[in-house]
Amino acid sequence: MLAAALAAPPALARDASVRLNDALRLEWRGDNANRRTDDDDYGVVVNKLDVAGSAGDLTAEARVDAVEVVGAPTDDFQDDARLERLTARYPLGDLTLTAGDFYRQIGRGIALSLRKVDDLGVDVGLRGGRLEYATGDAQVDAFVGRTNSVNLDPVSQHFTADPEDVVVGASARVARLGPAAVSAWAVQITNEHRPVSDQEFPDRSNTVGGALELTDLLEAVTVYAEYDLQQVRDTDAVNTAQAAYASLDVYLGDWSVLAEGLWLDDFRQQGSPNAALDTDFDYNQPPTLERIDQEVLNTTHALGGRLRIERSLLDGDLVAHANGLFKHTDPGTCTRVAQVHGFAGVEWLFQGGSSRLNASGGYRDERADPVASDCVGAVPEARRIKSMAHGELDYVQHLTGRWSLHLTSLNEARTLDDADYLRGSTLVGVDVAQTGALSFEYGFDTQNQAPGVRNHFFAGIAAWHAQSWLQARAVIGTQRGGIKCVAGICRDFPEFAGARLELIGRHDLGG
Amino acid sequence: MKHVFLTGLALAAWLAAAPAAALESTPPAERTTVADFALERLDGGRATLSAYRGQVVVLTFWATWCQPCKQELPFLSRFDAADARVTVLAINTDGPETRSQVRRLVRSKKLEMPILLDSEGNVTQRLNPRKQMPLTLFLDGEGRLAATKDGFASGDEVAIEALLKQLVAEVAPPGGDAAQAGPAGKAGEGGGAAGRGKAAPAGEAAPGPASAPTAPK
Repeated sequence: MLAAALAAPPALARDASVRLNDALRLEWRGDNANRRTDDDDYGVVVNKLDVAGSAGDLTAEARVDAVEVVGAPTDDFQDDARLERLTARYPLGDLTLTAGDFYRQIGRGIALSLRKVDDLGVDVGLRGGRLEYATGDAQVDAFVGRTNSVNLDPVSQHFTADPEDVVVGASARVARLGPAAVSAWAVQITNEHRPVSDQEFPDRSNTVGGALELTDLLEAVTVYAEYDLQQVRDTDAVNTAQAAYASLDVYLGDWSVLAEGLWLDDFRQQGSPNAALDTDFDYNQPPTLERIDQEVLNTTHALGGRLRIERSLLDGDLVAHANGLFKHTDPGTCTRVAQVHGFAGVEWLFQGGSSRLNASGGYRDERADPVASDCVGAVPEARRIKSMAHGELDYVQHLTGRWSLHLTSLNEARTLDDADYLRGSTLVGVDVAQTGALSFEYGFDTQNQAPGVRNHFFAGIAAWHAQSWLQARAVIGTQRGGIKCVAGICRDFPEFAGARLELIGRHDLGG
Repeated sequence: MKHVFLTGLALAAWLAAAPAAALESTPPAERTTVADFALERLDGGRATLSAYRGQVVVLTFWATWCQPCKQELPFLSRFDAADARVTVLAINTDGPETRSQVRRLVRSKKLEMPILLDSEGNVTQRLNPRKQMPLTLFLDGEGRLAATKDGFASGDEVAIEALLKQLVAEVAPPGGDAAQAGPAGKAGEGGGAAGRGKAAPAGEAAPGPASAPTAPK
């Protein structure tokens, strides 16, 4: 596909351009020793071709995804090829018209967050239209579309049907009201494929919300406050939900303090079922108060806050930070969980920025903490569900010229229902700027000690900048699985055993 | 085990011998125009790419979780501050839920360049569809794509500086009247804008006083 694209004639009108970006992945998965056979011994070829073009003021993008599975172990794997994304944009003065596929987020992601999270294979957009009016100080938009998910789940390699829920919304934002910016929005989501088919009305949620932001008050304080109110009709019952988020940033010279709070009262932008994940799509992504990589127990019903203190030293080359978080999930219920997480770290750039050392560590504790003594299973004292002590290191030592050494290590000592286990990965490598990198990775996970389950993982990784337009990356060996999270979205990755080759190429046409 | 060792040794030898994919600019006649876009600025208002026509523009896509990005940004900030003919537009791709982290990182690392926010990912989807972090695009004075750089490794800053010198020379040949403004001659991200004096580009609503003359073209 890439070769065909590269062979395309480059004769385009002046000021017209076409940019091609192709990612090809060849993968063979052997026995990953997880005592399951439905994810072993198959091959997969995935190609994603992105085409972005412009002519005058008109811009357009398209993506074609194709997958071929060799020796599929179950029927959940499907060969597929389709036009996954198609978008055109045209500005008319301060107006911009968008037709096709686009992403949309509102506020801090509580009311709506349709976006792409590549690491987790999450990619849900809207297929429809958007009209946006924007000047320097004011923005207004209205949009409507059906949700369109990427159809190949890159984690399970399974096929996922589009949810096609209908999303209609509008938002307005006015900035520079002194130091203030004010926003307001409304979103309606109608689910198309709910499990109960004989209900009188389709499931639907109506959300309205607004935010106030005060930026750089006295050049030292930034405040953000948001509130969302939702009416949900679910299987003919109508409920009300609320959400609020606020943050306060204070900068005092080289010191800064962040205080933020979150309240989610059964607030969820729920979509139709996602067959690949055996759960429903979520169309929002509230702040988590956590580090971006942390598992989040509940993004629907929570109350908590975080305090972060940071100190910048050496003209910004050394930054030290400490964080404390307390959160209740399912507050006020018999399933309430109290979560505490404290962590701290430093980020240091040295040798004029050519070398870096980032180190952090912390402790997280979660306890079942029923609100009332009459709850089933309630005990006088909170019972620990799980805990985790964690440490992270990212160290790059510049050697000479284009050469540097790289060490990355993430390690966790976990307790789950009084069972202790260890989990971690360490990657050691050599980086050569503009050429590539060679790395060796060792991982371990001692949670499952059953016979035949792999607990230690070894992989070799090579990355090569073959040409200015072509990159290659190869992995061979075994890599540990487990839950991986990005900003509150978590996926359970299977262990990997096999070989993977990724090629990313790009080419520009026109002039 | 012996095979693994030998394979590793062979790969290391290959890495040492492999030629570098040098960061070179495309010849001007073959460059393609990068379509205009508008994004919200971290310090308020909106920025359009076309407002920076006439300058060498560096577009870098970054995220707060990306360690190589955080190593590259201070270098780019220095290049932005050192020459009025170079503007770095740092496009942050974090979700909106981490907005205060972005603001704090920019402050603590004293980054001076304009920070643009693409939390929806619509511009990223067009210019960096694989969401490689960091990915850095170098545009010449006519808004055409001159080079693209994937990732950042120690030593890349030397190649980036050399490329920028080449592109700046195209904008204003040596000996021309496009004097370098020096670190005090720029206006970029919020906190430092007032004292740095580089005027807001044409048509862009930048915060703070914007009384200095437009950067030389």
